[in-house]
Amino acid sequence: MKKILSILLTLVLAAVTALAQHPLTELAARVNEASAQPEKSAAMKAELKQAISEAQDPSYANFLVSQFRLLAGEEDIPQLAEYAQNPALAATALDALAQLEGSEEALLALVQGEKADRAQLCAAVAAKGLFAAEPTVLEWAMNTDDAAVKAAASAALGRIGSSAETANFLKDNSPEDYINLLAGWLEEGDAEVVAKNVRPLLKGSDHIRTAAAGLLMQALPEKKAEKLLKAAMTDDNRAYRNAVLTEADAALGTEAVVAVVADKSFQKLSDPAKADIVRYLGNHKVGTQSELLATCLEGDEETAAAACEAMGKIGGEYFLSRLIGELGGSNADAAMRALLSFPGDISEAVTEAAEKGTTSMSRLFTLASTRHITEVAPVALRYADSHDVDTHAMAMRSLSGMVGPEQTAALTSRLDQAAPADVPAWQEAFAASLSTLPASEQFDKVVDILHDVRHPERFYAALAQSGTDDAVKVLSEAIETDEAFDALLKIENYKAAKPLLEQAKAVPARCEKAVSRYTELVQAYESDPVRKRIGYAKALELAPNAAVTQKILLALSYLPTMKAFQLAGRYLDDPELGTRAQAANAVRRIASKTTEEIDNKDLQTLLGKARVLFSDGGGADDGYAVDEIDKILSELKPAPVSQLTDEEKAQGFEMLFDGSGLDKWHGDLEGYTPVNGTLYVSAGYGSTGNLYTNKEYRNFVYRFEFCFLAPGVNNGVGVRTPEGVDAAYKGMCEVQILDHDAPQYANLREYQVHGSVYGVIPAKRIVHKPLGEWSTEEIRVEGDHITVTVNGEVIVDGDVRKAAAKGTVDGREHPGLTNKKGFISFCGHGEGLKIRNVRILDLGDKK
Amino acid sequence: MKSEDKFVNCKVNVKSIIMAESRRDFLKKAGLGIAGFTILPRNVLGAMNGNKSFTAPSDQMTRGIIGVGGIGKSGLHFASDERCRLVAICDVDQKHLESGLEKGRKQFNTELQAYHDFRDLIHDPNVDIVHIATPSHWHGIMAVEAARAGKDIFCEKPMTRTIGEGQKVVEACRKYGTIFRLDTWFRFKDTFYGLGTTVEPLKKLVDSGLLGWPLTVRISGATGFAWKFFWTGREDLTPQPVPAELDYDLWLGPAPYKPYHPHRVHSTFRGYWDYESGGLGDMGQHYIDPVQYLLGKDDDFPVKVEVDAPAQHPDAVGTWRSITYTYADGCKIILEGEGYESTGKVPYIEGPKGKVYKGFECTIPNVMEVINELPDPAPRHTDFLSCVQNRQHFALDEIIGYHSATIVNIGACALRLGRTLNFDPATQRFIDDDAANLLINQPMRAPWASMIL
Repeated sequence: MKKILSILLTLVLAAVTALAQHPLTELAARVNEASAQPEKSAAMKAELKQAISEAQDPSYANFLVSQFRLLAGEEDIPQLAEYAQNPALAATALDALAQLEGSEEALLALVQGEKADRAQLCAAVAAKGLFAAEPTVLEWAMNTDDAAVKAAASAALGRIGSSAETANFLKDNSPEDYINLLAGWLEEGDAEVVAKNVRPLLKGSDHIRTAAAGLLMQALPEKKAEKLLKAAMTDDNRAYRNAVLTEADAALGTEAVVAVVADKSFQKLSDPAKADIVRYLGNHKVGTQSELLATCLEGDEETAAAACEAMGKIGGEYFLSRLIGELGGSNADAAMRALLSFPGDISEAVTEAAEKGTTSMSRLFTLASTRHITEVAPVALRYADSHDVDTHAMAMRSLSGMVGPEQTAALTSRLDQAAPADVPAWQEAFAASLSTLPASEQFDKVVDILHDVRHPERFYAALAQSGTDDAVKVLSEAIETDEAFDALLKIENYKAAKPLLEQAKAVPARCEKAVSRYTELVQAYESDPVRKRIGYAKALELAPNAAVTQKILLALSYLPTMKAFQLAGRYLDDPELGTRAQAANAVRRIASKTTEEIDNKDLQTLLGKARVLFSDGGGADDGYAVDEIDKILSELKPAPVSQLTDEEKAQGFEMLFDGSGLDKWHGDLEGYTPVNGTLYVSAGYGSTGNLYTNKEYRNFVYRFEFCFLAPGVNNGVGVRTPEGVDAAYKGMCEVQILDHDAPQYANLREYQVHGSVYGVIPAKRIVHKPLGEWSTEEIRVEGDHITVTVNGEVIVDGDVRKAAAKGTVDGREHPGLTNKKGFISFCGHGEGLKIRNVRILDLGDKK
Repeated sequence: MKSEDKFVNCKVNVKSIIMAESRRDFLKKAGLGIAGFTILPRNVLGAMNGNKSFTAPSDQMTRGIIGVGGIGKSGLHFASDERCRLVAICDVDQKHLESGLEKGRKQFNTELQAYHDFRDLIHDPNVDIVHIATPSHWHGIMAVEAARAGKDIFCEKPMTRTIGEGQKVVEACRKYGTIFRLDTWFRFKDTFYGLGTTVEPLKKLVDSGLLGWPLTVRISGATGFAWKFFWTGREDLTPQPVPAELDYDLWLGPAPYKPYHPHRVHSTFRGYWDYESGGLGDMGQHYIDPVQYLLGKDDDFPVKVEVDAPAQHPDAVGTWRSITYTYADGCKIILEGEGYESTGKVPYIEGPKGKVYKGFECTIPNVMEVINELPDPAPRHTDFLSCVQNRQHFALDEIIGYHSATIVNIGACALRLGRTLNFDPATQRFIDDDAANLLINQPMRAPWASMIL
């Protein structure tokens, strides 16, 4: 151990690598290395031995021995034999010994001296194949009261035994191990002895018979094995029959087995036995028993079904035609299953049968439809045109699977002229005929048709199938019709989202379907997480009932953002239990998957509510949910709370935002979220979200810290500004906050860089810290004088009145420049800004 | 919907009012007259699963679940139906067991047999099918024991924690004619994660040859799959007192003794190499088994595995950046860890002639037309209970499960050793790497070690 520690210290001092921080990982890595580089092995083993001798904890010592095992060679046998005598190390050491060549003597000594737990020694004896240990192990087996020892000894004897005494013991006490014993003897060539001794076991319990028969099959000469096989077919036990078939196949080969079981005696066998043999023929794709299989089709149900299945596996023209013929009879279901996966191209046979009409047309059509045998389409159309209601219905059921573009014209007229009740079926067929064409071609074809038919609305569904942007347009234009609306609900194109949302608002009867589908589209197609959340929020607002709300919440649960978490959390108090459950599921999933920061209070409150719901649930998965929530909550680190420095306290600074809440602010509280000590800006896309101090100020020193999470962040500090206006112009000014290093701002004006008094006084351009790092800023305003300091560097120091005297640099009017006082604000839009530690020193109104 | 699906999914809505008792008792009572329960009429129980055969209550299969703390206790597994009835549960945590019994009573109106020791459940003559829902370091032992006892098996993924245990399970099932089902299913049903469709059209596309060969499949956040890196272990566990309700030694079973800490057990065991291999173990077979099926490699293994990962702690499973498997014919499976996904448009399958992206976007024009004209893949036996009755191998049996579990496990070996490993599919051992081969069978404590010889 000391040597290991000293090596570790060296490593730690030399270089703090990841490995050095994890001693056991480092140890295992070195053992792995030594196992591939023999020259390092001796030294590594010596180290391990030393460590084992010094190890205080037995399980740790065992771990070290397991590492030693990976390197052990013959030279280590004595050491391993020593370890084996320590109960804590025995399992590992004995296994290591069993794996080594030349360990027989050492193992035998341990066994005969009973230097370890008997059961453990037996396992090693068996693994090693230590024949010399037989007398000792037999003695244990016969004289112990301990069931575990007896079982272990029997198992070992089964592997190493060779004496009659052992055989007799096992025969009486453990038939399973007895069979193992005989199997081992068989490997050594004692086939006759084995056969003689195994035969009596054929009278044992079912699984013993099976194992015995398997062994017998291997031990017997061919003729006798065949007799056994034949006899087995008359046995009552299905498991036995099938096991013997399997073993016979391995021992004699398929051809020999078939010769035995499929001869004239077959017809006299019991029905279940016949079924077993038929299945065997199918599994082994035996092609020589066509007549036998054909006669089985007339047999009992199980055998007939098995025969169909076998024919389907074997294949070939003859079986194909037989199976098609069976479609009209009592074996129709089994024949159908076989035909659905019949190997090769079956279209010719099926088409011929369809044209002749000699078997069940309904089944034939189903087959043609499932296997897309388009050659049958003309026949199906003829049947579809029938005036007989049943014939028509039967054909229509399968038509869609058979039709291709060649049938589109025929289907167009039929769809247009169909009676209203028949329309859905013809629509399906029409759409199916186009389905293999590229999308734009589908659209073009359908759009052409629309002009020529009396009922264009019947063709809208096919437009939806094309899924093109133009299809969305055409359908939106026709949206008053139910058919166009239904089609828009089905189309797989994100552009359908907008018209559907409009429908949800405009037409209450369509709201549920429209909102549901809108949600699906957002989920599938919207990749921007902010837009996605906004989409879900819109859907939630419009959701007309609990079912839809729950569907949206489920989709929301897959959006792992902080704002999604909050949105879902609002539904934890919903009056509907189902809604609360979905909300609970959503907050749990989001909290566990998100990489964004969520405020600890939110986590505790919302996950706390969710936890209650899960606890009450009581289902198996609810338990996991509770565990997961507990894990998340237990790993929360306390949110930091900013504090004034002593100097600031002395000077009279007031903390405006220390992380705990926005009680000193008003305005767009939605878009500014306290998260664990910071203020996270998430004001909505495209809107301007302003946050205002509660008090108005004239002269002040305003300090805060900021951090950019994403490139291109844009915000600003409004100074002496009224509410609800653009502070840059109607307030005294806006002190720009901008990640001006982002590539999109390559052509920035100098008065737009970070810290500038926007449009009035350009700031000295600083290089921002990397994303995710915090910077400090101070804005000092006294009278008309403004100073901006970032990370200790003064970047603006000027007089706004003087700067604007001859016209502002941005050429615009800044009427608020001379405001006497006003609020201080954060203003801007877009996500990605964090702010913390906002404090102010009010310098009063003089000056 | 294929007609096969229709029959498999057909459910008769009848509340089972047969009391859970042993078959022997039932038969006895049936002889004396029907007291206390009703035999459901034939026409109600019949017409199921294409068989139209009458499932008499005495033919109803029974099952028991080992491990009812996690997935084992889900409503899906607790629900009984006409064909198979839950009769027993087992857990080493007394609270889990009690909660399971409660659930049986309240939600399913059933009195379950409760066991502490899994051997008692496996050897209960009243249990036909054993559902293994424990952490994976127990799977191999329990499966072999169940096979030896003549029971059929429903096993959670990953099939086994080590390659060696997988081999033993295959051997035992073969010997005893066991019908085994692994509990992952994406190769034959359900929407396959980010693909947005089932695996079937993808299989047809691959088989059509339109994408060319060999293929590279990328399993990544970028292609619609998430490797759950929250299953990492902690390196700072300090010994804690074992709670009274937990038999920790039996929970550990074959795993080495390490001092108790709640993070080792129950919901977070996946973070420790002794019991599982993190997210790779948790999701590995769900994601990788369908790929094995797609590539037609149910009888093959990769020949190389490369890892890009930080050095792994020997006890706590850590994260990894990528794991790449290569087959002899050049096919590759690339796993990308959380946070290390390729960016941009990343294909899920890439071949010399075409690419498929998540959402089944494809570079081949008219791909759906092509696919629709191809026959469905050969029918597979996807109804486990039918397989149990007819003694046919389930579509995801122990052999197939062993192959895809081995892909997961050679990845785990490469991570733990921190190097590229070469694997020989013929011998199913690593080439020129003794330490890796020592991870194929790992030490087990007695008496469990003898149960999987």
